[in-house]
Amino acid sequence: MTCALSPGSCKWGSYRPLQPISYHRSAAQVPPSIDFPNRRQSRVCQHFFSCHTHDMAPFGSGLTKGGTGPRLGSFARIQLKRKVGSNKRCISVEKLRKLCTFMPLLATFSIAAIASLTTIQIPAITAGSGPLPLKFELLQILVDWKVTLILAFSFMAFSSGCADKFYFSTQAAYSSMLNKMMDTFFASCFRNVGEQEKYQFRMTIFIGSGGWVRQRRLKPYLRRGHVPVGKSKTFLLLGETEKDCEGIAGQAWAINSFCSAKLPEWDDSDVGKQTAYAKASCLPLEKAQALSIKSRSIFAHIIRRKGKQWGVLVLDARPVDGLKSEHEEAAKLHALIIAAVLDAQES
Amino acid sequence: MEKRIDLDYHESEKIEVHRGDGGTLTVKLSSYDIPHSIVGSRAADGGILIRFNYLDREPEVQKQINATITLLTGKHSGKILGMIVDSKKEPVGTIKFVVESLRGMEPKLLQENQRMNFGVVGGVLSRKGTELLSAI
Repeated sequence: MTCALSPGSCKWGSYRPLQPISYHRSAAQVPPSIDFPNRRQSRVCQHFFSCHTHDMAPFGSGLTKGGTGPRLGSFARIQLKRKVGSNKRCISVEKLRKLCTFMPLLATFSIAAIASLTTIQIPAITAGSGPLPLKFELLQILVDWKVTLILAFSFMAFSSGCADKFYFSTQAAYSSMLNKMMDTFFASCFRNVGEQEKYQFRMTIFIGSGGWVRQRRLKPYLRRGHVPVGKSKTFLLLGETEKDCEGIAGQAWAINSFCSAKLPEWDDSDVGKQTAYAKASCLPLEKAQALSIKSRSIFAHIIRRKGKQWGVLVLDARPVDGLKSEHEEAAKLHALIIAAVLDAQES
Repeated sequence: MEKRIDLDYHESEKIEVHRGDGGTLTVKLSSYDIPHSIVGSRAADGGILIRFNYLDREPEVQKQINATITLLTGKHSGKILGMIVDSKKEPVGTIKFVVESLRGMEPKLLQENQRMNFGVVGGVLSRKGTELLSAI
């Protein structure tokens, strides 16, 4: 397959034309699990995967400001924004932040417009002159509601400014920091793995969410490594005991420690093997069947924030002996660093 | 007088529990629950204060487990951050009593990480406790 994007040829915020470069990849380098359900997705996958195998395409960083992953074409980026469900939090925070940055400006313009428009003289209604034109009627409404509108816009500007300063800018900064850290972690953790085999490994941060209205769960927050477009919607339900927690990540959460697992082989045509896989991975059969990648070697390490469970760092590999003791040490170290960053954010 | 002893972090890392059918799931202590050093000193009331230093920080809560020992545990994780021992015995007897008390508590603990942490702390005290208490 020929056709790729040159990494870094397009900067976020200032799109330069893509500079296509050519390289050749043999069929053996394409991971077998990728299937292209339709033509549009196929194009996205090609873009994404071609970047991915060379630069460890990000799950989150390529989509958010400040990410350091390879830059995708605008078409691919839009598709990814739509498809990658588990990155929603990153994107929504980024969007809200942009809105909060824009809001004070909008409010200032609106107040200025109201102030200038209300200086226009509205002709007095006299007998026989007929109704006022629509523009004057609207102007009259504006004059009547002038004070309320100005107060509302002032409040909007103040609250959004405060939200941006005290919440979103910090969130965006830490989101960006975590993104960059994940790039470094993935690169350092799998530095001994050849470029052609890197697609077999993934690194994911799951965060605990829910608990009030809906059942507590672990959601993928950031991921590095191979991610099929449009398929990463897996969340893991959490319960009170270990038996009620799904996945190896769920076990690490429940035990509040480090878990590793070697899983049996998956066979699409053998329900017995599928059941064994689901049981070993602590997942319901339907959820195991829905997994896009059936990893056979998994490390999961709890991430704590001031001692409290915050999330789980998961390393997984397709080969059964893919993850080794060096990866275990790396996972433990990275979980500690992430916890230190989270603690710093809180303080 | 304060005495600090650095611990073999990697030794504690090796502790593991196998679960699942055929031991497919292996549980190990997380890096948050392994102490890297132990500090012994005299408390203001004359008791012995033993602190375990970890790589992270966590708020602590006090828990009196018997007339002699007050444990300082992590608010969320339940790991042992320290202990105040009000003992007039000589170091060997004190450490033996503390270790036995911890062993007695282990089966009653609900969290797996807490059980493993108690095991590690008990082991550390068995090996280094006498040396620590003799110096303070």
